Amino acid sequence: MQLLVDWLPFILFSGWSGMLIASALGVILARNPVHSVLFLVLCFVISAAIWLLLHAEFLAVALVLVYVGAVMVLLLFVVMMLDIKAERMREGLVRYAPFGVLVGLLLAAQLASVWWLRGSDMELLAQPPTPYFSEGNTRALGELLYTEHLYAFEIAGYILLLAIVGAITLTLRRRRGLRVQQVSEQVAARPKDRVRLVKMKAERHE
Amino acid sequence: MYAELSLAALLPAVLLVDLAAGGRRQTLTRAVSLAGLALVGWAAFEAPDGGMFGGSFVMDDLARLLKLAGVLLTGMAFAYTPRDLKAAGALRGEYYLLGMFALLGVFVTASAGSLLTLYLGLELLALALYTLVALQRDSARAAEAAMKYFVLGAIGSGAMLYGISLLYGLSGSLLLAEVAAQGGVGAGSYVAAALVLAGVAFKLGAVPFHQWVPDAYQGPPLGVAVVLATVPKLAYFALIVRLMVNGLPAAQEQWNLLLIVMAVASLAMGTIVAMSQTHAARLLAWAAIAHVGFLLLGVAAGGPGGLSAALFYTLVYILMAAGAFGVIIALERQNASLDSLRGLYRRHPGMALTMLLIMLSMIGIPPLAGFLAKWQILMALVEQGMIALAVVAAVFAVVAAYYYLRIIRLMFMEAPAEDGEGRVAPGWGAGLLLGANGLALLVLGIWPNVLLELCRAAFAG
Repeated sequence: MQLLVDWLPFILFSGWSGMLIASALGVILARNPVHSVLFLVLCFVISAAIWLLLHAEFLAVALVLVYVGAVMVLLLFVVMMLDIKAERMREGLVRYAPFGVLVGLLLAAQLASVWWLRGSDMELLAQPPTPYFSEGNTRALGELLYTEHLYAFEIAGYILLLAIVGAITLTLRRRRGLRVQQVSEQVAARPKDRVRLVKMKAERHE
Repeated sequence: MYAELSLAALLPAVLLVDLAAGGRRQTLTRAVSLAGLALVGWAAFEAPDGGMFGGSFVMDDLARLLKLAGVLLTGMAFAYTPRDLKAAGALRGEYYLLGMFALLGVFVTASAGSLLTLYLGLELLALALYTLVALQRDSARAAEAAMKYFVLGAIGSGAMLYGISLLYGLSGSLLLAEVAAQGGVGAGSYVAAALVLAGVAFKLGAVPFHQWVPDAYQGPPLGVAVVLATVPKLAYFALIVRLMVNGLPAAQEQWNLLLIVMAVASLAMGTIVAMSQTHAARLLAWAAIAHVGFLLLGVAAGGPGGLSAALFYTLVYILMAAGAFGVIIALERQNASLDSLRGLYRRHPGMALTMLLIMLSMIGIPPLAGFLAKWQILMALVEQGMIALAVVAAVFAVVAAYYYLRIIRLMFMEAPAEDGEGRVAPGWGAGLLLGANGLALLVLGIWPNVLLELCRAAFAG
């Protein structure tokens, strides 16, 4: 039993990593673009699970909420709206293959350098930082964010406000003759404005 | 903090006023903005010295001077521009709102004490400026200018952010004071300094990162260009002082060399290319590149003397640029070619005399403020034993006189164009303000002591 507890993180990590790699392959190999996007959603969820293993609860939840909840839904809409032919996208595969191999080799070299660094006696790597907070990292993050970095946090808020104002300024157009709802007029409508009861003389059918 | 808080409160208020006014009565938005700016200026003046948030916010003499200048220049830009923007079909309440967002960016940068707040302030400023340049939506020129400015600005910001992240990695702290203490020397800090300097040069428009400047000045309506040419320079000066001078003293010898190369290249390129320009805004853009070269020489001279000279130069320069754009705006031409200045003296002597003062000040003729600004920089260079640089700067200042004198000749010695476009009516408020702007250069040239002392006090500590 103790053996299982000791090995549980490793088992979970290996299992999730395998699933992550499989679904990442699914993203690029699926024939239907919608399936690709759904595989990507799966990637994010599994990544969030792996982050949970690293005690990064807040980031894990934020990843699911922000990326799966908002970004991927938007992406899914876009993919469904556009008529993408996956077969045509795949035509350049052979042509771009050397470049892909090059990027892959570079990534492998970077990973190898990390492996090599782990062997050297760097202080930071010798003892992985244990979480110094006892009450979960959401609280720790919040405490930092709302005290020391409150100023930067508020400026970031203003940058977002500016982004909203800017985007609306540059895209909102008031065209003439556009048929739009006038909610105030709809609410203010009275039956007598819409229905006119006309008194008519009854006619008899001969 | 007072100034930031009051401006941060003013922004949503202006947004709501503009919304309630139905997007038609920009006069109301403008009045609220100007009144609010006066309050913000008072708050900036009254704000006590000191740091907050663990040192990521710093209020000192430098920050106060830059903030007050920013409020003044933003207010002047708002006063000069409505007619021009209306003619371009770009006068919307958002113009004032975005201008004040830019001002908030200047505030944050001016009193940034950490890498994080410095960068956030710059981004706030840059985003507001990108949107302002694109404000005239149905103009292909404005769209092109905005696109160039946005893409090149993003590259510049990216380079700087990479340098900043290296600095953070090397020193282990976001606070500029600790970065300066622990940055140390070595390849890492040199690479970081070079990247940060490239970002700074992008923002300022120093050669070889200047390509966006002429288009960004010419493409949008002049009312946007006047904001672009004046207010952001304050933030970029703060950026140089806080990040390069105070944050990277260990690598100063290395980045100073780069700075000198860029300064001389900017002086040469700006001066020479400006000579062949026929569009007023484009000419002012190339002239601005040359002025940036001068300013950077002051920073390169270093020490309290050089930095206070550079600060004085920055303040005088943006006053001149605001006035020059103000006069061109008052001409009310959609295409502000230099020919529209032809015979201005006969059409409106007051405007012509104002422009004369500004141009003479840009050349650096005593007793105008522009002379004193150039003199201070040259003296700082000589004091540091950089005699050759001082000679080069003086030579280019003389060469630059050509295109300023050409404008003066166009205004005073040539007859107005015969196409009946003679009318120049800046309006009472803007006209008086422009006159005051021109006279201020004269007054600052004759009694410079107050401003000079303020500039020296900013670097006394």
